[in-house]
This record gives sequence, C-alpha cells and structure tokens, in this order.
Amino acid sequence: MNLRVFRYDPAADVQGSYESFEVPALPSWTVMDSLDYITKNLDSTVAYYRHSACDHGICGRCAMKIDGKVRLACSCEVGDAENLTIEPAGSEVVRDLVVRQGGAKWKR
Amino acid sequence: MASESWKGELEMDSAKSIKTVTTDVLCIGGGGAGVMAAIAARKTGARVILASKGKIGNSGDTIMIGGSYSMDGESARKDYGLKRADPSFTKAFLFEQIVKQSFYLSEQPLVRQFVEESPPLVYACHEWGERAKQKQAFTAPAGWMLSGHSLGVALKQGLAETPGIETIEDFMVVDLVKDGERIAGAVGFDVYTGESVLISAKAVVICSGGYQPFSVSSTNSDVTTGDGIAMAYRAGAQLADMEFMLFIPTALEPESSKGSILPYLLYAIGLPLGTLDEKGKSIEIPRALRKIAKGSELGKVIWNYYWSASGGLSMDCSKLAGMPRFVFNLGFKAMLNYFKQFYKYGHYHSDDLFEFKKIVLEKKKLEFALCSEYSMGGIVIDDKMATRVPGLYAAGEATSGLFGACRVADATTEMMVQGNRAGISAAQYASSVSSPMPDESPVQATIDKMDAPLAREKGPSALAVMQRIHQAADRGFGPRRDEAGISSALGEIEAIKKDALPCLTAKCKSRAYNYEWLCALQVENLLTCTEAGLRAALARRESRGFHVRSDCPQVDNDRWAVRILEEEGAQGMSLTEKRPEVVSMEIPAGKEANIADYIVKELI
Repeated sequence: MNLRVFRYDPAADVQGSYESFEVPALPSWTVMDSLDYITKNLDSTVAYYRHSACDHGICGRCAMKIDGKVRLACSCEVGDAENLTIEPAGSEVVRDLVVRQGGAKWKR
Repeated sequence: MASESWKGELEMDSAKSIKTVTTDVLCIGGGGAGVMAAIAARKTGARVILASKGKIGNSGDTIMIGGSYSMDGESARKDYGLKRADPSFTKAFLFEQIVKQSFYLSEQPLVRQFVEESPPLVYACHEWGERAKQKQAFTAPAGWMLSGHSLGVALKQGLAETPGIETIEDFMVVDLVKDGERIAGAVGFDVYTGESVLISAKAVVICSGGYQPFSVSSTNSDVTTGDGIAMAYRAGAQLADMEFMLFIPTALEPESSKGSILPYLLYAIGLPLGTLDEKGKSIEIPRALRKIAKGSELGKVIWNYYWSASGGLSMDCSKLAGMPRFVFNLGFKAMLNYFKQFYKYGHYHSDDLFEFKKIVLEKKKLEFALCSEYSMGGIVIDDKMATRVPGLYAAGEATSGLFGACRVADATTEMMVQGNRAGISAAQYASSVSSPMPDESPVQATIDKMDAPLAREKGPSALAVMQRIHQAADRGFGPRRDEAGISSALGEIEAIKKDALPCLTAKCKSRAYNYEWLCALQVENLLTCTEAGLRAALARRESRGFHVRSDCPQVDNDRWAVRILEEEGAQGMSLTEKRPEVVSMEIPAGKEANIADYIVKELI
C-alpha cells in the first residue's frame, strides 16, 4: 500500500509537501500501525501524535485527515485501499501530522 | 531553523539560564493519582503544579480501564445510603481478601490505609462523575462501573471544582533534582516545543503509573514506560515487588483490537469458553480451581498459572457458536445493551463487537495472549505515601506494597486513596520546610542528558531499542519464567544499557514534537524497570502470585514470604529483602508444591 504523508516543519520549510511510503499493510492494519511501520522501518522522522496515544479510540488525540476525512488513526483500518493520503487535521501544524492541541501553558 | 535554537540552548554554561517556575508541591502524572494528589495538596493549602506527559484526565492508563471503582459495602450502605450495597462486604473482609490474595506480600499498614480511607474519596469521585453527567452503573458489592473516558472526565470535574491548581500538559519530566538529600523539584520539557523547564518544588509526588516492557500492550497507553519509578530510583528511593506483573487474557485479533482486554471480560463473565494451546489441544483446569476462578478476582491468577504453560493460545468458542442461534443472539444483544451504557453502540472502547461476533461464529476461536495490564511493583512507600527521600512521595500504580504478588482490589481505588494521602503528606511537609535551592550541576547534567540524542550524529534509534527491550521481556519476563530465560533477557538488557543507551540518536534534530527524541529519554526508564523486574524474578527461586517459575514451582512461605527491594548502589542495582509488616494477619508458614495447591489450601 502506498501512504502519501504530509510533511512540514514550520521552522525549516516554506510550505508543506507530500512524501510517499510503500507499506506492506494487511487490510486489518490501522493507519496508526502503518505510520508505526514507517517510523520503525523507513523514516523515523515522520511526526504524528504518538507520545500519549491510547491506541483504543479513547483519547481522540490521533485525529488526522485520512483521504480528506478526519478519523482516528488508531481505529481506522486501512482496508484494501491501494493509496491513502494522510494530512494533519487542523491548521496550526507543529510538525508533519501533529497539530497544536493545548500543550504546556505557563502562567508564570 | 529549529537546529539553531537548539544550539543556543546547548551553549548555556549555567543551569540558571533554564526557564524556572516555582511551587510548593509538584504532582507528576495526569491520571487518577495525580489529580487526587493535586486536589488534596491544594486543599491542604499548598501551591500546586500538576504536570502530565499527556493530557490530564485524557491520557495514561486511567482512561484505559473498562472497569469500576469501589469501597466496602458496609460504609456504602451506612455512610452513603446506597441501598443496593452489600453490607456483608465489610472493611475487615476486604482487608483480609487483599492480604491473602497478595500471597501475604502486602504491607498491611498500606492495606489498612486503603480500606479505611477509601469510602469518602470513592464517593467524592462518584459525585464528580454525576455532576459531569457521566454514565456510572452501580455494581455490587459497592462500586460503580464506568468507562475510562468517563473516569477521566469525572477527575477533571474534581480538578475544575478545586481552584488554584496550575496544570501543565504534554510536558515530560526527565529527572528529579535535589538540594543535598532533599527533593528540590524536577526538570523536563514541553513535548510540542521542546523547551526545557526547571520546576522548583519543596515536595514532589510521583503519580506516573506503572511500567509495561512487553511487545503487546494490554490496555496500557503509550506512556507506560515507568518514568516516575525510574526517576525515583535515580533520586535514591527504593523499588520493590518489580517481578510481579498482572497478566490477563488480551486480544491479538482483530488487528484493530490488539491489546484489548475483551477476552478477559468474556472469560470473567462465565461464558462457556474453552482454551486451546498452540496445537489446538484443549487446556484443562481442574474442577476445584475452575469453581474458584468463576466470578472471583482470583480467576486472573488461576488462568495465568494454567495457560502460561503454552504459547499460541486461543479462546475456544465452539460451544458458544454451537448454541441455538436465538440463544446466542439473545446473549449477544444483552452484551450490546450492557456496553451501550458506556460506549458507542456495538463497541467496547473502539473494539467492534460485531467483528468479535463474526470471529466467534465463523472461526470459532480467537487468538489471545497473556499480557500485562498492571505492574504490582514500584516505589517503596510508607502509609503516608512517603519514600525514604525527604520531600518525595508516590501514589497509585507507580508504588508497591499494597497488592504484593497479586492485585485483587481496584487499581482505580488505589490511585484515589493513595493520591489523596500523598497530596496531604506532601503539602504538610512543604509547609514545614524552606524553599530548596536545586543543585546546579545535576540540573545541568539533566539538560545535557536531554539534549544528547539531538546532538549526536550517529547511533541507534530509540524506536528500535524499545523493540529490543520488548523482545527481551517477551523472552524472559513473561507469564512463565525460568532461570535460563530470565538470565538471557537480563543479559540483553545489560547489553542495551552498555551498547545502545549511551549513543541513542534522534535522526530528526527538531525539538518540535520529536517522538524519537522523547522515546530516547524513556529508554533509560524502561531499562531500569525491566532490569529491576528481571533481577527480582531471578532472585525469587519460587512461584508466587503472578511470578510463575517453571523451574521453581513451589510456593515457599518459609523462605520467600519476603519482598525484594532494589536500590541504586555503587556497583549498580543492589537487592535486599524485607518481610512485610503485619497489622493483624500473621503470615502462614510452610510450603506448597505449586500455585494451584497453594490457592486451594491457603486462599480459600
């Protein structure tokens, strides 16, 4: 399966671009499984929400645009799609697929 | 360029230039223990910062539960007027159950604290949930069933009702800092921006949960790398009971439900299910133990004992599939209706129940494995939740001593009751001491440690190293162990410590949401916890609770009714033993041939 992933580092890039990865996904893999495959095997620099992800559709923080629709990466199965386009679900991109969702706010 | 701002930070030659915030009590962890500690410390009069690696009330393992929290039935009936509560489930009975089923490794003062202090806290949490309009279903003997998401929302309600707590989310604490012998705060970084911050605090409460070193994660979120346990260890606290991991039947299929505890729930509700080994042969459990397992928390330890002897486990659903279809459908409908109270129709968390139905009816078996949902081990505390380091407290799954070798009561209640007590203790301590002056060189050392994976040009990725740790744990630290397997896993952990840990490298140099970098900082923590678990597992030459040694099947109270404590020594990790403190239940003497015999003779 071909995964087309939005790449963007606001500190370094003028604008985002797309990078394609070939992933040996089974239909039962989730989009999160496919992204994990990429970072473990192909390119560890791809950023997507992972550091406190529940992976069971509970926290709702791995939301991203999958073929244009906002879905949770952890519970969206890739099915028999041959191509999938993955984009951030929001405008304030921190890096690649990660958008700002709160984060540390220092009062002092 | 991101890399330039990173260079700017590296050029700091004094720790004083790091952004610093000051508080009385710092609570680390955004789950139930952290929230309860923050609320209690605030109500005791302290200034409080609550810092979480993820979102408070919406990350960590608190939201992963599909379970309940509870108190004793007598208090529920008498003090809170809950008419459906079972008053025969008394405090004394609960105390006895926890101690017995811990295989007598419980520190009995901690059990007493749990039993005595839980009712008002459990009820307070219930009221938060009600005010936040979360579905909670009363469950016997005296608790409420709810989704993990709802529990998180209830906790956030409690936080919202307690003004003045400063909350910091998506902030990873990397290390504690001290002022001489006493705690002086912690250093960490903002996950989104990578900015380093020193939080100067008079007291710190570790509420960051347990550890999970295996490749398949059972209802553990991505954060469960034992950060707080390992930080406390580096700061001079002791760890104990690290060999005891609570293994339960966890789904391996369908892929999107991998890690779900639905198989456990299906077994626990007593459906006519069998269990097959890798060759498809049925694994039989003797009738007496089957009876004990049915409807009892001891089921977990019994299943673990019998099923851990085989790999390639699957749930045999042929009896279920062979039922008249209308009976099956009625049962399935009842399950849908039950879960509908807490989850989207047709689901348990994100698991599609119709997919499970399809597997049951068509494939007639479901692959599962025994995976760890909870670690009994952790930081050594007293019944005020104090560690031996002045100013350092701990609560919840990050601690040890309440449940010994086998947890039977609710971990949710544990986090509430210990979080609350730790918050009070930390605030009282903070009001009695002057402001600390964090030692400069350890602060600088932590900043250097944080920056190192970004600064290195070449070295292994933490993502790959995490997999190496998981594989080692799978091999030697699983539900059935022997000396050769444990030693081999320990050898691998030692090798990772030596050859990979000092040269972990994040390929991407950005500080902005850099997961590979964050993982590099978690590796040391998971290594410490896994090493502690393996060393204790190797030392304990018997079987007890969830520690099953195929080469030492005996349960030996004469030699091993002791906890194994671990601390950082000059030559690395050093082990000592401690007999649990008794309040009222003497530890029985004697030996039994194996865990099954012990359960029949001692625990019933």
